[in-house]
Amino acid sequence: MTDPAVHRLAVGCLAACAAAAVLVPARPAPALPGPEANTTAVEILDRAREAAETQAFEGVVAVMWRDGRQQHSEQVPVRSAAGVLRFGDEVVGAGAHRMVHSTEGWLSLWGHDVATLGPSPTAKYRLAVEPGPDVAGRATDMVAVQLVGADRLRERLYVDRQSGLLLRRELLDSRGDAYRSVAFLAISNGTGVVAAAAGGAPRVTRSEEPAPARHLKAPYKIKSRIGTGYRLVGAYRANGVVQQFFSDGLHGLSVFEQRGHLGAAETTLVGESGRGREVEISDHTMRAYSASVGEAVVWESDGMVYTAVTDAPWTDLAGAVRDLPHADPPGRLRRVAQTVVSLFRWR
Amino acid sequence: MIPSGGYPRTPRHTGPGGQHLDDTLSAYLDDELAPAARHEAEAHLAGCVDCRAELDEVAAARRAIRILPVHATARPLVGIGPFVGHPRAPGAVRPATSRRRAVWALAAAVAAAIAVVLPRDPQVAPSLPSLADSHAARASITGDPLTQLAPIAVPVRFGP
Repeated sequence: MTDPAVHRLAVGCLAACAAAAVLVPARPAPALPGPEANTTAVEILDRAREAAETQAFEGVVAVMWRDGRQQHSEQVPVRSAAGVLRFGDEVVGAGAHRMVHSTEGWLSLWGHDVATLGPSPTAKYRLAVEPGPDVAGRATDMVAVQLVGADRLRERLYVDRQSGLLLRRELLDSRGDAYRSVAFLAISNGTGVVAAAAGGAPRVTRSEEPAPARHLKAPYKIKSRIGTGYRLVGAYRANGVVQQFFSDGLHGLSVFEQRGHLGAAETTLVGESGRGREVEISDHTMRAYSASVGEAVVWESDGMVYTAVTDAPWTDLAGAVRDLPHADPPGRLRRVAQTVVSLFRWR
Repeated sequence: MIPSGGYPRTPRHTGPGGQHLDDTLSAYLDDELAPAARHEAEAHLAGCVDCRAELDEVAAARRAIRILPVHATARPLVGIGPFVGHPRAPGAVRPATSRRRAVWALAAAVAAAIAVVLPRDPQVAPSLPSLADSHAARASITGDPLTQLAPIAVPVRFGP
């Protein structure tokens, strides 16, 4: 038999605990070691992706990157409503559509959903969630990113506890300083104002959407894995350019292949102001660029011009390039010989 | 009239001085002799009938060669030629060598023609801004659209 007094005491304790759980504000979760932390971090990042596409907000984002010793910083107004995400008057994302504004109007860069999402980031990274600082006046949870088996922090992502939006993302150098970041300077949720200002998706005047390239023949070379943990999640073709898109779960890496020989005028490669810098990868000289979007490297091999672009650190890009063709460009005599030989090759 | 065996010659020694001039005659005619050798040759010619006669002969032959019209060789490059079945003079070019040269010349001509005529691979100057846009567009579909798309909206994309 149970003593009624003891029973009342137990019920009272349970009620007190329940009341305390409701009344006491939730404390941010401390950094969790092991698989639980990974799971939590992945969920937080998934929610952030969803929030960016569904929530209404307005703000200003600062984009910072380092180009050698020089640091660049630019600000971009951002607003989102009714599923349309606008960056200034230049870039729009709406559902699976991506558009950029050009001199000829709005150019469509992407227009379809993708089936393959890519690998889980936990295969390559160790993720930990801990309380972060305020970003743009919002309390955040910080996702700390390390390579599995490494001690150094490589990246930090700050997620708004209230909205779930990713408010700041920064890549860190060996000293722990950010050398590339995208961060909200200000953000508000004025839904009505934002909705009125955002409008709908712009009318597209030209399309350069790539089509899926399922069967590519030589000289194109499809790789299923390159670099450290990058897996192929899609191959596409547009305007004679083949794009292979790889992902490691957190970052993307594109390899563009074009038939031909690299033009001599390197300043025209960029089409803007940069001349890039020479780098040595696997004993081959290539031209590298540091841009707002990330790192890029251009080279030539066996009658193909390769351009690799990534939002990941430079070391990831260099590692991936090592796994791609990079023969010395053939001389004119060798090209003639190759052409003559190819005439008699019937297979 | 020149006898069929040519002018009777006395035994000669090459070189300037008191010897007959022989090969020095060509150099003399071409004005290739050094001043001292030239004076020596002229002194010899003044006293040597044979060498003067040979000098006239060589000079006449040169003049004759210069005024000859230029004709294309009728000999076929490959196949039966005038050398076939005939004894070959010492030092004459052997037909096999000639054929090899002709084949190589033909091959070189074909290779040169191919190099000139065949279309060359195009020169490519990748547009990094547009490729970067394409990358960001694709990456924003499966990644975070905010942090992937904001960088391609900044006014300046590539540093100096």
